[in-house]
Amino acid sequence: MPYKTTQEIVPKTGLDNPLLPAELEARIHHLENTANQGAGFSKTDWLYLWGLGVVVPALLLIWGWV
Amino acid sequence: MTNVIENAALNKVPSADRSAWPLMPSERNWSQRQLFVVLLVSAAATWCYIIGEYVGYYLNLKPGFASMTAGSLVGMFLVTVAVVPMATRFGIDSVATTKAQFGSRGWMFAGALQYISIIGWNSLLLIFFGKSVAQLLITLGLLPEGGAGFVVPLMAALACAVVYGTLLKGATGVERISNTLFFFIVGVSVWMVVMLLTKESGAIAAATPEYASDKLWDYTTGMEIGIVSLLSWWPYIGAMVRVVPNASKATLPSMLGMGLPVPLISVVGLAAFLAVGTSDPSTWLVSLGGPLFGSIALLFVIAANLGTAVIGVYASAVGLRHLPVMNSLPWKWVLSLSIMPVAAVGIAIPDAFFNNFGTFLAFIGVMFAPLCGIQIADYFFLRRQSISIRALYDPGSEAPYYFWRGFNPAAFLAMAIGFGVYVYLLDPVAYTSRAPYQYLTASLPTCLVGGLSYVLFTLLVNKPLGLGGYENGYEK
Repeated sequence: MPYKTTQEIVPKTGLDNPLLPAELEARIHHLENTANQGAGFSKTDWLYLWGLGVVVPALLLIWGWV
Repeated sequence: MTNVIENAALNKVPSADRSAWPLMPSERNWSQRQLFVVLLVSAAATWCYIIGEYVGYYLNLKPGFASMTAGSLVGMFLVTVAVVPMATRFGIDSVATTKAQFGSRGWMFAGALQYISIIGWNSLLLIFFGKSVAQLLITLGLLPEGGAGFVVPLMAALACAVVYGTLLKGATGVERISNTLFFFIVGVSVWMVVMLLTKESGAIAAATPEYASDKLWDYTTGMEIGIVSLLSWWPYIGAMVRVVPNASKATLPSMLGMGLPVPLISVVGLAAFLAVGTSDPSTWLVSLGGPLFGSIALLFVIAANLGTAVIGVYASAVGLRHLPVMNSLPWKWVLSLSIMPVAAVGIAIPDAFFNNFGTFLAFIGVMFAPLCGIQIADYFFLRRQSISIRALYDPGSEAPYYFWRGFNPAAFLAMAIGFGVYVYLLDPVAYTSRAPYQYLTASLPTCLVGGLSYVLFTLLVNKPLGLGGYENGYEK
C-alpha cells in the first residue's frame, strides 16, 4: 500500500474500504497487481506516434507550402 | 476467501461498460479493428464539412489540405499521449484520468467540460440530423418547400430516442451501430470526394479564398483549425480506448481511425466551399447530380451524425457516473440525463442554438489544449508514469490526489494561464491574432505553457508540501 488510507486502518482485505462500493473495491484490488494492468506505449508505438504525429505533419507542411 | 468475495463482487454487475469504474482485463476485449471502426464512425460527422469550410476561407485546396491534415495529426497526437496511456492501463475514461492532476473533487471541472462540450456538439449534430431529414423529404417530394419547421424538432426527438435505445446496451450498442455505419460512411465519403474533384476541378483550382491575406498567417490558421478541432476529441476518446487491453492496441486506431478521417472528410467541405461556396453536401450534391445524389448525401449526413451522437452520449454518460449520486442510479437514468438536454435543445430552441452556440463551443474547445499539456507533463515528467488506481477512486482526505480539499490549484492555475495564452495569441471567435501566432499557432504554445505552469507550481508548492503523492513512486 503506497499511502495511508482507510485500508490501513481496517484490515487490508481489499474489500473493506467503507468509502468504496464492494465491486469497485474488488476491481481496484485486482488492478493494483501490475500484471492486470494494460501495458503502456511500446517503442514501436512511440515510433508510430512520432511518425504520424510529428514527422508526417512536418512533411505535409513542407509539401503544402511549396 | 478474498478471491471468492472479489469474484462474487465482480460477477454481480455484468455491465461494467455502463459504469465509470475501471474495467477488468477480461472486459477490455476489443480488438484494434473494432476500436478503429468505432473511432472512425465517431469522427465522421457533419462538423468535418464545417472544419473544411473554415479552412476554405483562407486557403486553396492543396495548402488547405496539407495544413489541416498536419494540424489534425498533431492535435490527435496530443490527445492520444495525454489520455490513452492512463485510460488503457486501468480501463478508465477521460474524466477519470484527470483525477491525478485536478484532485479527487477537482476532476468535476474536467467532467463539466466534457458534459457541456459533448452536449453542445450533440445538440448541433442532432439539429443537423433533423435538418437533413427535412431536406431529404423535400428532395423526395414528400414535404413542400419551407415545410421543415415542425420536422426538425420532431426528427431531433426521434434521433434522441434512437440514441437512447442503442445505448441501453452500453459499449456493445456503440460497437453495433458503428459496424453498421462504417462501410456506408467510408464508401459515400470516397464517392463524394471523387465526384467533386472530377466535376468541379476547374472551379476548385480557380477559387480565391475569401479571407486570404498573408500566406504564412493563412497557412498557420489552416493548421490551427486542424489542431483545435482534433483536441475536441479529448472528451470522447477515453470512453472508447478503455475497452482495449493495452495502449498498443489503441495507438494506430487513435491516430488513423480518429486523427485522419477528420481532415480526409473535411477536404470534401473544403473543396465544395471553394467550388460552389457552401460546404453542405445536401446543397451541392443536389445541384451537381440531381435529387438522387442529394438523397444519398443526405442519408450519409443522417447516418454519420447519428453514429457520432451515440458515441458522444455514451462518453458523457460514463463521465457522469463519476459523481457519487450518479453511481447508484440505473444506467437508463444516467443516459436520460445525458440525452435530455440535447433533446430539449433540439426540440425547443434548434434555430437559436444553431445560430449562437458556436461561440461558446469555441471557448470550450480551447480549454483542451492546456488540459492535454497538464496531463502529459504530470503523467510522463512528474509522475514518471507512476499512477495509483486506488488513489484515483479514493475520495478520502488522506488520499494522495486529495491535494487541497480535493482540488489541485496547480491544475486550475495552469488551465487559466493556458486559456489566457490562447486568447492572447488568437481570438477563437473573431480569428484575430497577435505575434508570434503566425509562427507557432495558438494551441501548441497553450499546451506547452499549460504543462510548464503545472510543473512549476507542482515543484515549487505541491511537492515540498507533500501533496499529490509525488513522493511515493507507485508501482508501475
